Amino acid sequence: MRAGLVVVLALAACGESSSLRIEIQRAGESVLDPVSGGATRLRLELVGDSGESAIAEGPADAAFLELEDFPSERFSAVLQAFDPEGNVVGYGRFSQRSLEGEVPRILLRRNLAFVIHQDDPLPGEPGRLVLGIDVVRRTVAARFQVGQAGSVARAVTAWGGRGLLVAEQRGRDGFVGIVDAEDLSYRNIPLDHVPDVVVGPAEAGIGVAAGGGFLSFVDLEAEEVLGAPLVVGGRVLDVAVDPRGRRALLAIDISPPGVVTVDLRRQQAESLPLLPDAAGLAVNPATGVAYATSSSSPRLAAVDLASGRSVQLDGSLSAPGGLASWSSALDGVVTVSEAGPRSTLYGYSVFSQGGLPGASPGFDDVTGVVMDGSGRHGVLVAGGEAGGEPGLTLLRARFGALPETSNTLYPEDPVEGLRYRPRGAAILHGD
Amino acid sequence: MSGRGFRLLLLIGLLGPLGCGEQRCRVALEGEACGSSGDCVEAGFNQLACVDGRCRATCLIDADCRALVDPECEIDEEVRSAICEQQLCRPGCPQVACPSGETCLIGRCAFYREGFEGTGDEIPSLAGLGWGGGGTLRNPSQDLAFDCDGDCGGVDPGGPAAEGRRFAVLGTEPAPEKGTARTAPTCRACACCLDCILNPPLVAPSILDCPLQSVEPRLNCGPARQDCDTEPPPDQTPIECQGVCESCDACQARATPVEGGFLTSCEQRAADRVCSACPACDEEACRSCRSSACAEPCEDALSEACERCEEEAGCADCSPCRDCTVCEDAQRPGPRQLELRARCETLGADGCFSTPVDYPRAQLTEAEQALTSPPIDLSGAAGPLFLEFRYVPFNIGSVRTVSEQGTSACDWTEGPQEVRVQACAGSCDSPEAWVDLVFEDGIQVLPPDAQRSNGLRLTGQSGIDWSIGRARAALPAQLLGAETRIRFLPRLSEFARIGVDDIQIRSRP
Repeated sequence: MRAGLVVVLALAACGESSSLRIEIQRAGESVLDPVSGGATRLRLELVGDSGESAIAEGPADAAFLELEDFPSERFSAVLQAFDPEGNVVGYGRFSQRSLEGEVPRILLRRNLAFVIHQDDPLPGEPGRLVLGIDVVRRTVAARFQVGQAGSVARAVTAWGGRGLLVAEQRGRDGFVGIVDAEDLSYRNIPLDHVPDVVVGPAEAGIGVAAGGGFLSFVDLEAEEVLGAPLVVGGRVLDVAVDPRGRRALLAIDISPPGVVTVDLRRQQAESLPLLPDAAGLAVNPATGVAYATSSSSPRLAAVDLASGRSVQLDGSLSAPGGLASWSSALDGVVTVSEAGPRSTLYGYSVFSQGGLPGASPGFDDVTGVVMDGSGRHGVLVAGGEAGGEPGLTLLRARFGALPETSNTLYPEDPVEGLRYRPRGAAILHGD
Repeated sequence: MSGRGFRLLLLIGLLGPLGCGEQRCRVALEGEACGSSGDCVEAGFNQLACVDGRCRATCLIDADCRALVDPECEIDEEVRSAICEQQLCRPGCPQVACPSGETCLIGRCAFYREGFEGTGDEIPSLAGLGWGGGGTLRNPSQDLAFDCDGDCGGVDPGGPAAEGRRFAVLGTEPAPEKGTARTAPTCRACACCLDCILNPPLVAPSILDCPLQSVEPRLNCGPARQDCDTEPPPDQTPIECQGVCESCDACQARATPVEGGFLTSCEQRAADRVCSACPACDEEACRSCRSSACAEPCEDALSEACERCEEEAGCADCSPCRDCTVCEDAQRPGPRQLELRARCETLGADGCFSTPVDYPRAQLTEAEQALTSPPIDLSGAAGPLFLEFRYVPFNIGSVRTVSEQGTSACDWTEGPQEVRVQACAGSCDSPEAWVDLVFEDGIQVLPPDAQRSNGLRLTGQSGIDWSIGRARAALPAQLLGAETRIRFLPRLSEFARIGVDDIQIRSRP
């Protein structure tokens, strides 16, 4: 357990009532503190096993929050930091914890989209540059590089609130890169192959690095590769992982199967005929259900990552899907369709089991779409076609509607003054 | 329905059979003490959540609070005007009385609010709403933008506003190098001299073969400057032009010397002279004759009808005036062009041609560039006030060219692009009366660096952009008068724009 990252829940007897006292500690790097993003209020919501819930509020710099008389001893928690306009500028969560046993942990992180860039031959080595972009204000709040000279970040995913996982390539060598969300420091683990993507469960367990025709299991805590890589053909298009570390899904560009399901505990992988031409994956962290989109069909499929069971969903999108992300606020999936001359954002409501009406404006060469932990804010990054300008689109979601978009040029690197082409993005979220 | 709402429905389903019984649902902003949201449902507050041990209505925006109203339930009146503050619904005005001087505007108290929507059926305009620039020149770069939502009816679409359907657009009108000339007649020799100096011919022009070109506004008396890397040609009279220019000096001097702005020495030389025909047109006897008795026949001054009318009316003084426009009329194609040209030639060096006599000021003052509010009565404020507004910068870069009328664009300097927000409490015609306001984060100019060069175009904005651009500044006590004004002073590049909407002055930040 890392110092400074722990939230302690203590159940204390106090007469006839009991109170939960939650100590809140923050990352050492101040830029990751929601206060630096304009947070003025914290709101912690506990949801018990039977659905009962309660909220505790406090100032953004509160050291702890308390709840009186919460009736359940097993619960999930969501911590949100709000700015004065009601935007969610920080987030943390954990699920299904008990007061007994190990002290539950929750990490509060500022809502930054960490964006990696294409390896274009430009000053500033954009291929290993990561910009942390405020998903509410569109400002560049953090800047750092991964690896060393010659390194290229091929993909980035969130490792819960603990850090970022980077698929690093240096020449013919591959690495699992870990950006520590405590101080944005970087370390890596050598692999036997070059990964397309690295993904790890938010809570605990084994991560997966896939690419170059292979799949490796990685103990992210111990920072070691487990066993020899499995042979898994195809290029990874999108990925989803169970926060509780049971399964991961990979969408690959070979169809069938299109989707590979990876049992993280047994360290096994097998094909999962789910949809033709699977293209995008998104997971609801509260339920552990993953949703898959297809680039040739407007239908979606769902996979329970706990049991591995899958089902075709009723209703459909207005067009075939693509890269996907889950939005709790929308209670559904946002996905980028490449079916038309320009990419378009569509939405699917799990609540109403159907595609959301409308479509976003068009984008060129979308390379990432990611929503924050609250599901209210997100970003879509686009590299821009030849001669076009790279773009950054802020997304703001609400229940039952296609997210609102604000499309602008991608921000310039504050050091080099150049506008690089984004390659992918990730937002830190719950434990 | 929000995720919270869904969970509450789930709770209702779970707890309804256990605890609600016959109890009627109640809608309020706050209920009794609770340990979980289930306690609120049991008490009939189906839409409240347990927040810090008490049933409360949570929200993200004001609309969430108004959405609580359920006609099937018993409703507390304060719900109808509730507002969302710090993610909780709270009573708004008029349930909560406004401080003295403030009025209730959609649940919140304010001394002043402008959303640029107007009232009634009239299409609003900045001027109609009392907003605009000071001084005499109008800034055409500032206007109201309209979110016509596809049904624009010939109006340029403006895209979404922060609230309502209209917002103000700020821009800076650049100054021209020279401006647009006001002209008056001069003699042919002087017109030829000016043309010859500005467009030097290879051989000395004959008086009857010039002027060849209309005079383009120029900052110097010589050939046009090729580019900014070369020095401007010095003022000079080429040897080929000396003949026509000496003839110019022999023309009749203008009775009233010209004192026009931004005239070069060669333009001044032509402006100081006049042909002999035109002054007669300004004689009182001729003017009154042509404006009354012979107005209609003398629409064509050279016509026989005009001549006959003037003779019959005794307007003999008008005879020379008939030749005032003949040379310029002769340059326009028409059935009488040959006749007019011949008549012009008979006038020789004394023919009449237009020449610039003034370049009026076209450079707007800061007061004219600014978007200024009508007077606002803040004299009743007891404590500090706050100005709040929302804005969207449309791809504003860091620097602009500072244009200056009467100087070459090659010599224009660069300055920062910025919008200052200022206030004055009286004597607002004086530039010194305006005070820069300081925003909450200590900056004095908009937009912040992080909001520049965003590639955003007018009409491309969304509600997200309006929520990012929210500015708040304290209004110091010395600026709270009976006729306080605020203004937005743009110093932007020619095509840069910034949208402003939802301006409020309140006692609470």
